Amino acid sequence: MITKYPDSSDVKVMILDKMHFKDARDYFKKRGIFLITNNNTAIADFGCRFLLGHNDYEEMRVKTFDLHNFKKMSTIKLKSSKEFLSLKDDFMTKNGVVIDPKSGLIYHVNYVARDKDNEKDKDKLVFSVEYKAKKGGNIELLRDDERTFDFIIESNEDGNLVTINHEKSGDYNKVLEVFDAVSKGVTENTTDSIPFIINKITLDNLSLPEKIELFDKLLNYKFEKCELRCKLENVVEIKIRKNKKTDLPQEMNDESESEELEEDLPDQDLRDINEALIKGDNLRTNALVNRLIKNKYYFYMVAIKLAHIKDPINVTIRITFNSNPEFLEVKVINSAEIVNEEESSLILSPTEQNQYIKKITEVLWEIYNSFNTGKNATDVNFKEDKIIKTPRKRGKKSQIIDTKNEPLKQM
Amino acid sequence: MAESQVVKGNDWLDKAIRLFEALGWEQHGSNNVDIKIPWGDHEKGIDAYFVYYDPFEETKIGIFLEAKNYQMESVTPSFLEKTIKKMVKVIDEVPASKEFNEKLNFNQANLINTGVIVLWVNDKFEIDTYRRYLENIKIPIKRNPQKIFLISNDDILRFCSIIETCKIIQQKTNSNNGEQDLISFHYPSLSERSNTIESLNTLTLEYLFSKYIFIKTTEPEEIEMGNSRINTSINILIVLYFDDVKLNNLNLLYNFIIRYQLSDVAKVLVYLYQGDTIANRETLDEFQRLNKKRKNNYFENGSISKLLKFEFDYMQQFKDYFMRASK
Repeated sequence: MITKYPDSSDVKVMILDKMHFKDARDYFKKRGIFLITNNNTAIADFGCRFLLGHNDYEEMRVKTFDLHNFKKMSTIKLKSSKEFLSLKDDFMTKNGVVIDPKSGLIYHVNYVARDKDNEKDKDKLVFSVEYKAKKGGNIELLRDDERTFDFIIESNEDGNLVTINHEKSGDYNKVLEVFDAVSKGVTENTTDSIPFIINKITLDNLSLPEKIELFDKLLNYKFEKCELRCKLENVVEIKIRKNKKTDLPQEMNDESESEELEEDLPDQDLRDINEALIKGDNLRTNALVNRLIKNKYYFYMVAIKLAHIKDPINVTIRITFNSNPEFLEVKVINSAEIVNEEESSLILSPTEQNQYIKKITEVLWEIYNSFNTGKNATDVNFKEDKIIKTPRKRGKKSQIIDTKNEPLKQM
Repeated sequence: MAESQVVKGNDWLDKAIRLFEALGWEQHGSNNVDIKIPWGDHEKGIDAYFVYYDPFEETKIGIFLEAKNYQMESVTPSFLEKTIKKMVKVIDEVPASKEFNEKLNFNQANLINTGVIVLWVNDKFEIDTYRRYLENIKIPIKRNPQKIFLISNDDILRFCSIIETCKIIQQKTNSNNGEQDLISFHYPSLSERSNTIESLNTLTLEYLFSKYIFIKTTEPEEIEMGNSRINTSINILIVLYFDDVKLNNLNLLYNFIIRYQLSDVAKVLVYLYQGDTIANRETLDEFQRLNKKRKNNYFENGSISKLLKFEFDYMQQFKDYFMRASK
């Protein structure tokens, strides 16, 4: 709520320094004012001459300070033999009920039926989750951080898609807690079997060559042929991790053997990989990659820059297989518009960003599922899923506490 | 184009010209002038060309006007894009042509980078659809900056309202400037402006698209002194107010008036563009209550300000006026 009328020189600075070129132009475009120029200075010059109203300045303020409005998302699949509407009833049982008194975890769910006019639309359950987490504070030593985020379950025969719009990585675990509570609630009162199981993309279920192949297939995917109409311009960043997989129960692992090393791929190697991709090579045949495999390294994160074929826009998206907690995150980390052969920072609308994130997620599921035809090994009963309770210590193996105090079963 | 279309088009052009003349703009040259562009070896048709003094540029500026009169279904995003692109080309190419100076500009040193497209939708104007189109139009990029204003039904009706309200103000106050037809508008000295011209009979495009328009004027007042009555006048500030009638918005106006030192008046008369509704009346009452408290709490520049009296009135709204006229 602005109470002091902004000085025109302040407005000029706002537009010039704190608004992106496209946002500034769009701000005036929707008011019927078209500023035909190639730089923010001209827009700032003209823009500060209007005596705008309260809501106009609020809108300007929101457009500027929201600089880090980059979207991110993680997805898992909810597999069930039940009908979607029946699942809805299951989730309604704990709607608005405090699930965990300690954290105040609570959710509110809405059923949204599909739009009959739109073939592609699906039935959805939209969840809004609230909980409290403890956080170090400035005034109190430990204060409650009230967190909220939402997630959506979309009906799908192939496994209902759960899209989590997490703010913090801790949110992911809360989704699992919600599923756990609902499932317990359903089985407690009836003789029904577990209503659903969770299916997620995890590198842990892949062999080492398959881990590499997943990235290989992703980087060689023909994005230009899909509805995004963009191509992979280059790999901006790629990170490797040493394979620590053992089949022994957790207690028997020697700590020194199972150090998890995460490294950034050095620039020269990154260039090698980019070259290989441009040539259209398979990553697996690449000498560098083979060296990595021999030393039991695999990729766990990659950031790719996708450039639109027609419009002068590019988007950089980071795909990370987090280990603490263990989930796949797809995030937009940058986007730019090419103006006069120079990159000018640009924030895409949430809808546009989500399009990119959704497509990449789709592609990853496609690739992942192709590894597991016939095997049911990808289904993980979320009750036995790892929920990391203590913070990771660098260089040491994370403390993993199983909810049932059993070693993780390799299914 | 069919004969009747041409007539209808010209009819609308005449009305549009009269609209802007009523806002203080000067038309230079005639309507519908064709200007030869020598290097492209073609001609560009200019509906009308206007000039006014711009207090920011500190010079007179030239404005190309294009008048359009269409049905809503013809107003598509591509139509709007095409029209704007055409205007961009006009601003780019016409000023350099000799014929332009001979027929329209008369060799004056006007700064020419502005275009106005006056689009009247002559059946049902769908404002939401139109606003959506505006957001999605792609516009070209040029090194030499241009400003193009796309004015449509709600803007046009707002301008009509401004003109009518100014007439009423002139009748009620001492604002008749002898020969001049139009009232004097007050241009606050914003810090981005170096010159000091504060009063003009013209409404610039920036002012037309602002949420406040200020008029500094006087109002006659009768004072009783003993047995006789003396006719005097008091200074008043008139605000044509287009923002929402909400407390935050009104408070921001109040803050503007204080900061730009417009408060040394007997009263502020605010003409609201938004209508007389119950919600608005409640907000105005609340604002007046707040205002009374302000007198005691307000320190600005070290001096205690006196109570700034506010009065509210409503601008005349035109909904169908033009619809009837343009058919």
